[in-house]
Amino acid sequence: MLIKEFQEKITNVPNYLKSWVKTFTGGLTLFCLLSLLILPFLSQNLNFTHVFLRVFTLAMIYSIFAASWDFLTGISGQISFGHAIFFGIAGYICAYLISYLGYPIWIAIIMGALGAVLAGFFIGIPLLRLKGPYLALGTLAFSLVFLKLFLMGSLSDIFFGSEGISALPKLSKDPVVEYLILLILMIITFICIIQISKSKFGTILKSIRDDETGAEASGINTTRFKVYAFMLSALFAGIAGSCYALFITAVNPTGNYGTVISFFAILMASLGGLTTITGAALGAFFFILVEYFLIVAGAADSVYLIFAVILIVVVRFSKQGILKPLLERIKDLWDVLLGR
Amino acid sequence: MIEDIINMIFNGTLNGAVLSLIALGYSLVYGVGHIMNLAHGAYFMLTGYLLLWGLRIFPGLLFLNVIFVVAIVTIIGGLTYILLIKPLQDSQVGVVLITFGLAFAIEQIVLINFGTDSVSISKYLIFTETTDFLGFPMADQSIFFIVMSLAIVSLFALFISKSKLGKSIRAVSQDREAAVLMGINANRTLFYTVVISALLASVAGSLYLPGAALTGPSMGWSYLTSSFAVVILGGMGSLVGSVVGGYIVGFLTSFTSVFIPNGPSWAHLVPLIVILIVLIIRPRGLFGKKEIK
Repeated sequence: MLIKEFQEKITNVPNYLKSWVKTFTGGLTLFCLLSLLILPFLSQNLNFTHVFLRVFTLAMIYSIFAASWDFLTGISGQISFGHAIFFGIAGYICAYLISYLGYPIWIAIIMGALGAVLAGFFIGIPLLRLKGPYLALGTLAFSLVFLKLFLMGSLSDIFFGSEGISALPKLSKDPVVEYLILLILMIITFICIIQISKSKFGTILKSIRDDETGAEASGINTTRFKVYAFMLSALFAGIAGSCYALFITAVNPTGNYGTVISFFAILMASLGGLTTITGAALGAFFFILVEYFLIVAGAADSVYLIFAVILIVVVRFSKQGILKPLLERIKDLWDVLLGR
Repeated sequence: MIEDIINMIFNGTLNGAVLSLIALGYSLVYGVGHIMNLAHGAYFMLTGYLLLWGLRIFPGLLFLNVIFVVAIVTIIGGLTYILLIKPLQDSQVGVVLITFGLAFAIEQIVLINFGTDSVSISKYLIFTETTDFLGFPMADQSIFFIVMSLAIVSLFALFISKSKLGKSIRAVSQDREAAVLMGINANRTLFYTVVISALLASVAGSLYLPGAALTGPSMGWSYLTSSFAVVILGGMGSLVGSVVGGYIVGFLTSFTSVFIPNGPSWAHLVPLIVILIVLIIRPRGLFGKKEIK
């Protein structure tokens, strides 16, 4: 039954793609992806390219992370303020496996992501009794505890103390290859998450988000699905976390478990629009580019402050995020230009 | 051994005194408006740093500085309500996001101005001596704080039960629509509630922090987490619960610090373990109900 459905879907893919590209968002997305694809090869000046590539690679890591957060909070309605946990656990597991146990890179990344999934399971179960803001604070509490555990006190020595593990290998020696690997990972992640949210599973999650009592009354085992949502979100967050560890070639408590990281996920997904998964990518790229320009302009210290203010303003004035309405304006313009 | 026990009791009471004040404000706002003000911990932290700043500029005038700082933070609380919370009242996600953003912004502002080092305001205390009790030195400032905390809690209990505003607050927390029908301006009441909670947090901060260290701008988060644990333990919306829960969590933390090996490291985990246990065993908390008692 499932196989037949799958076969039908596969044969439909070319038609689906064609009609998708013809829509405005589809075409725009394809254009962005293609331009991202050829970006490394545009300039002959390798140093210049490498810097830009690193910035974009980081943006892609963050977009995977933000998309996973958006999936949990926007689609499933489970507000998570401690997403840094999954990010950090995956990073640490990956780092530990590579540095201390000599695992090959890709196995370590997968193990890191699986570790994050386990964490999602163990965190989801107790926190499931909480709803809304309680859940947000519960996840925040968890992430703070992890941060402290790894950062201070004598327990932290088991966990490599405040310096963490360093000297990790990168995904690849060549920044271009790193960039392309992450681009592919990002595309796969987004396709997965978007397809999942459009599927029956996704609809169930949305129904839990909108009206949990109603969903339960319809016979859905809300607990089970909520745990699934946590685990799935943790999977992608974990992939992002492992890649980040390899990108920075080190892990340490504040860098991987800090509240800043959770803040990033929230900020990027909110900028792009809370329930749209693609918004997370837009938010991530917007954030990284603005951050880069701010640093270059010399305001490095105030970067986070400015973004916090942006978050406050965006949430205050527009729940849709600023980028989606912007896109719609552009779309209207496009339509006008084409004379429709 | 005796020293350890006295240490634990004293510190437990001290922790409890702080936590009960902070959790009181937090639970108040939740009980009345179903709002979680994630910036509550930041108010506390901000008080400490503003005091530090003020005392660096005007060293001798401790009292004036305290009044000034408390006023500022209270005003910030009021502004939080008017600008941020009220427009977003219908959306729980929105309120949580925006107060998180605010807390983060406050942390960043403090971080930019003060850096991450641990600082101490103890140079400016009034009570700089310690009393010895059975061989254990207790800072006078801490004793002063505990007494003041109990006094404030009692005053607050009087306020809530006898004064007109207190009764309005209780009414709105019990049933907002009915309160509005009875002629209570729920909006105004909620505003005062947020202001009072900020006031409580900053008074707690200005009395407690001169005796303790300011461990960095991110200390607000740990007080927020602890107050969340207290409120879950005591029951959301129950003021009695916040006070009692505060002391329980305070004692649990000091017990862990003193008597468990590697104590201080495990002590960080206490709020979380409390949250987990309460959620699994009795999610309602000790005194949990919808109204304020």
